[in-house]
Amino acid sequence: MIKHSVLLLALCTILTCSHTLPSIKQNGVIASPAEWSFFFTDKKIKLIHSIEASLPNNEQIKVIGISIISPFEKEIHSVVLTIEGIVLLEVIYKDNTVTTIRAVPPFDSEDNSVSLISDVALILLKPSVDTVTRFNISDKEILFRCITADTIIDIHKYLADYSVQMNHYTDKKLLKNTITYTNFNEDTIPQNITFINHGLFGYVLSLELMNYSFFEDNQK
Amino acid sequence: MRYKLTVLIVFLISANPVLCWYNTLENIQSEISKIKTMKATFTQKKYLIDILDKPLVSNGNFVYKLDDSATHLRWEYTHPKQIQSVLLISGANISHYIKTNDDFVRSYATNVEVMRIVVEEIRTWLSGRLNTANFTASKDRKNDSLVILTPVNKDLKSMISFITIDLNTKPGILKSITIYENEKSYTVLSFSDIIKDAKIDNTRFTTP
Repeated sequence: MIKHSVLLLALCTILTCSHTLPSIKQNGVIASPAEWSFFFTDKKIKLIHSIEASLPNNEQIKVIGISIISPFEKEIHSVVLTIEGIVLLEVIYKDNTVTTIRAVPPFDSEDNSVSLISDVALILLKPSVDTVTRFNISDKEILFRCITADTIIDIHKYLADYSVQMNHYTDKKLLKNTITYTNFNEDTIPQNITFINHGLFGYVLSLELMNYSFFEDNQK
Repeated sequence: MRYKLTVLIVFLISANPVLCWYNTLENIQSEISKIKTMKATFTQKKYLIDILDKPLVSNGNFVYKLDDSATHLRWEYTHPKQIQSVLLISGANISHYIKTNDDFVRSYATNVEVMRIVVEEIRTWLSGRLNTANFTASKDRKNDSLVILTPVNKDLKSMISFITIDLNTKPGILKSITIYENEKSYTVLSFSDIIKDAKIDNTRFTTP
């Protein structure tokens, strides 16, 4: 009985603390893809990031992530390795399907590898949405709202420093993830990306760009 | 005449494999165990043949000390700045720190199984034992300066195929270590600026 009460209390706390989708009291206009998706590359690219993970039990770990993004195929080939160069995970993500090429503990569990590559896909792949509505919140902020069958995405574009914050909400309008893109370079590649998972066992991934290169044989 | 004799002796010594420090595994282990302190810099090149057209390069330095009580190691990555980190081993104490916003923060990288194994191996090699619980050491038949370490169990083999240690001509000193995960994924660690028998304070192995 006590166990149930504690659980209920925890659940209530989580629900009351969770951020919900803000309502917008103005009419928006249809946004062009170039306006809202400028920070997602439309060319095939290889990105190398350092990834610092802050886990729920306050553990910190840093790894290197290599990602080959094929935007038209909506495919990511991702390799995660330790600083010492040992490959922990190599996976291919395509059409929401994950194919594991190589995985060593703790990534040999399917849950861990799928969870990680799904986060990488959310961070680096342009979301598949039909209609995006633009709202001019202030002279410093534009909001783009995309609604799909199972998620609502708010993209906040801050004009002062050209940073972007992308919030993913559940179909129940609860905040799931927040992704922040900052310090864009001349190729509009963000130098820093922060991914926050707001779940019960939430965690933070901080990505710092180490290197990138576009593929010459870029095919659609 | 005396000059010619000296040249002949030097030639015979250098050409005689029996006198070479790495002619047997026992000699190699014995010479490595004689090194009490060492400082060096290293270059790490990570090759991923199917993914990277050129290797990922990082640099750092290491400090090693073997005293009566234990082996001590400081293994530090200094470049590129995004992966600045330090692994500290002092006896049974192993800790790993990553640099975040100019501060070192305790990391749990050594909790990753494969990292635990690698750290344990390094510690054992440095004390002069190349045959360990996890790896069997053998001399390469073609290259005399090469030692090959082969994993003893199947689980470890799925992570690391084998490791080669290339020995320096100077006794007890390693030239490079290559860790092969498979033929398309391997890491080469090359050592330079090696200083033996320097005085090293023990705080280097406990403080990031």
